[in-house]
Amino acid sequence: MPVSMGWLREAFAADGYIAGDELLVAVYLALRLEKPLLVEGAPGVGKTEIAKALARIHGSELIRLQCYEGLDEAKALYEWNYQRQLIHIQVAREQGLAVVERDLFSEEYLLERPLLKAIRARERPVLLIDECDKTDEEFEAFLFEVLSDFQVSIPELGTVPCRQVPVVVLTSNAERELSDGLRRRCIYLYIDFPDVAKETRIIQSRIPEAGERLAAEAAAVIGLLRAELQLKKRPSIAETLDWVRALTALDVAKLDDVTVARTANVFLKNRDDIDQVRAKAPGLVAKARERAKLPRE
Amino acid sequence: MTGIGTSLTLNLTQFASLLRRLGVRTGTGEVIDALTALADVGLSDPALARLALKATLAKGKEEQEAFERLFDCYFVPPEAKAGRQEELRARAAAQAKQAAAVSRDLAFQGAGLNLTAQQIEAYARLSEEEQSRLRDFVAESAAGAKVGPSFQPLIEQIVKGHLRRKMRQNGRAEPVPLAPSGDPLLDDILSQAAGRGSASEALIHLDIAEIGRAEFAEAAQLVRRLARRLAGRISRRYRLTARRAQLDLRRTIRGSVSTGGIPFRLAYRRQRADKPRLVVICDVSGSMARYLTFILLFLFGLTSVVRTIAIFAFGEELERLDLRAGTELELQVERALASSRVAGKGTDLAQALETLHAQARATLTPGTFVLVVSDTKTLHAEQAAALLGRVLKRVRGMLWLCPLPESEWPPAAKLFAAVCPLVECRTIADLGRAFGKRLGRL
Repeated sequence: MPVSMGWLREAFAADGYIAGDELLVAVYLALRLEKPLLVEGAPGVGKTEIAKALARIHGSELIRLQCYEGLDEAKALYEWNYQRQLIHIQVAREQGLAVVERDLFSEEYLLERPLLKAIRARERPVLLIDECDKTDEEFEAFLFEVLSDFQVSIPELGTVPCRQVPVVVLTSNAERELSDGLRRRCIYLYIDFPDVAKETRIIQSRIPEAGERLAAEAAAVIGLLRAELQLKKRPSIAETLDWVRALTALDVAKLDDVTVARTANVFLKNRDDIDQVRAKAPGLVAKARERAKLPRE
Repeated sequence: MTGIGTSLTLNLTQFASLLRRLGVRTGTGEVIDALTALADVGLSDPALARLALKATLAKGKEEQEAFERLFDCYFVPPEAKAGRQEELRARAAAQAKQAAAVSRDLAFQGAGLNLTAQQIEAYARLSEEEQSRLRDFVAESAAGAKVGPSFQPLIEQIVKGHLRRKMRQNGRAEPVPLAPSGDPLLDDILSQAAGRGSASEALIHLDIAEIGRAEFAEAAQLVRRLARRLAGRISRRYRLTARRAQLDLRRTIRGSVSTGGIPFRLAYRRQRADKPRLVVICDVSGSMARYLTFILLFLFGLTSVVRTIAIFAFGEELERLDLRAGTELELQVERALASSRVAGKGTDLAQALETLHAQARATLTPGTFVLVVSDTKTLHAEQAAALLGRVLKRVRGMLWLCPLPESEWPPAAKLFAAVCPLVECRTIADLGRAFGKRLGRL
């Protein structure tokens, strides 16, 4: 299907992903220019969710490569099934059959890892390379090469070209700088924390049972905390959603200062931060309502 | 790229070159992408076109902020551009007049002080009383019996520091200087864009001693973030050695016993990350508390890649400080220095190093990295440099952070620079640079 801005906007909305113009333009360009999309932002702002939403929208397979310290080509691209090769040799020996090297390095013994799987997929898949800032420089250079050519060389099998250029989404928590080479290859998107109105819509779309008032008040309180308190870890959208789910489970329909103080441990994950919020709880909800310009009670 | 005219291509190329001068790493590939993107989204909706350029030209949070500032200054209607040019001509004439007047006002033994346009403007904005105080200060300093032209840079620094403080008080922080391009309009656009930098950008380039209490929390947050980023880079380096996984033959063969001698499961050797121990030797004379606080905030942020941090204060003697990562580090440093027996006395690095050698030798191992924080003003500098060389032989590496601008380093600094790397470290940006370059050697 030809991609257009209007179509993309509707598709994201239908999927329940509340996307602003900035996000839509970046995704649109990545799809149109067939370039990887590099998404940066604090943890929990919905970076990974973009790839998941894209896979659902296109009805395609989501192939995920979770990056971590020490990830290497064998885990990301392909490996030979060593144990199976050994068994083959043993069985052949016992049966008095000759073992030909070509048999051992054939498709049968190839363990496809996410990158190779994405390159060989028949339908255009969505390849999510998650938290790519966790890998090391060597792997980043390798990734850069794969994303440039979309083909890989397996010495025993030859060059494997790409059947369909996958939709590639790379995410990073910006804990460290990615190389210029990798950045150059990508369309860039930075996702910041949403404003109160947008976060209210996100809550309503994800937890409709929360009710309009609770959604607006929770978004207003979180917005105030992020903006005005020096927190060690600011609450993310995912934590806001957890909090609203917890409040809904507790049958809370509207917020008050005592409830915020009592449930602060759901959206804050640091003792100093929790103490700080509890100390400032008196008058917090009223202040948040005023700041977000919510209608008077 | 149909539909994209030559003038737009030229404008975009010029825009990209201005972005580069603001520190955004934009290459030709990005400009081509931007043109392709513009051809795709079209120009009918300016907001969409702006977002398309942003996604293709600026690839980082700070870079996108710089993009936004420059975009607002650069893409303006032609009539506004012409008006701005006229304004600039008039302003240049007025500035020249103002500069001549200030140069006469603040003359040091007949020579005008070397001030930037922003500093001259800041002086002109001062009240008559404040101007006269500054004038008197320069005149009195110049009139001393043994005062020669060599004192001018020192007086200049004091005047500049005063004017910078005034600018900040009035919310007009001095922008990071940019090299002029020769085109006054482009230079004006650039200085406007640079001047609109966020408060955190200004803090990064501010002398640590000038960071006020109100800005402390934000600055501390910036330092922690910087440390976290750099720690990521350091931990990556360790893996370069760990990644070269070698087959552990012994374990593989032992494991093969259970499978009849067939090495079914391969065991690999993995090297342990070699985390350094940090020893910080800090000069506690003068106003070092603030520098020490920030450097420690930074070092404590590196704990994931550092084994231990031992902190010593020195004046005439050496004393170990008990400081720990956590909240209220600023208060901890203040208290530690207030109760320190070495604070507020003279500075003798040589004596301090002798003590370190004699009493804390165990901390100096081949796995130790030594960090000296001092303005290099010490008694017995030659002896201290020799002792520093001795310490360096015992440890993995050494770095000297000096909170003075390089132009004000005393002659002794040369002696120390010959022994170990000596870098200016007055701002948070300096701190990042100093460590960023030396991560591999930590």
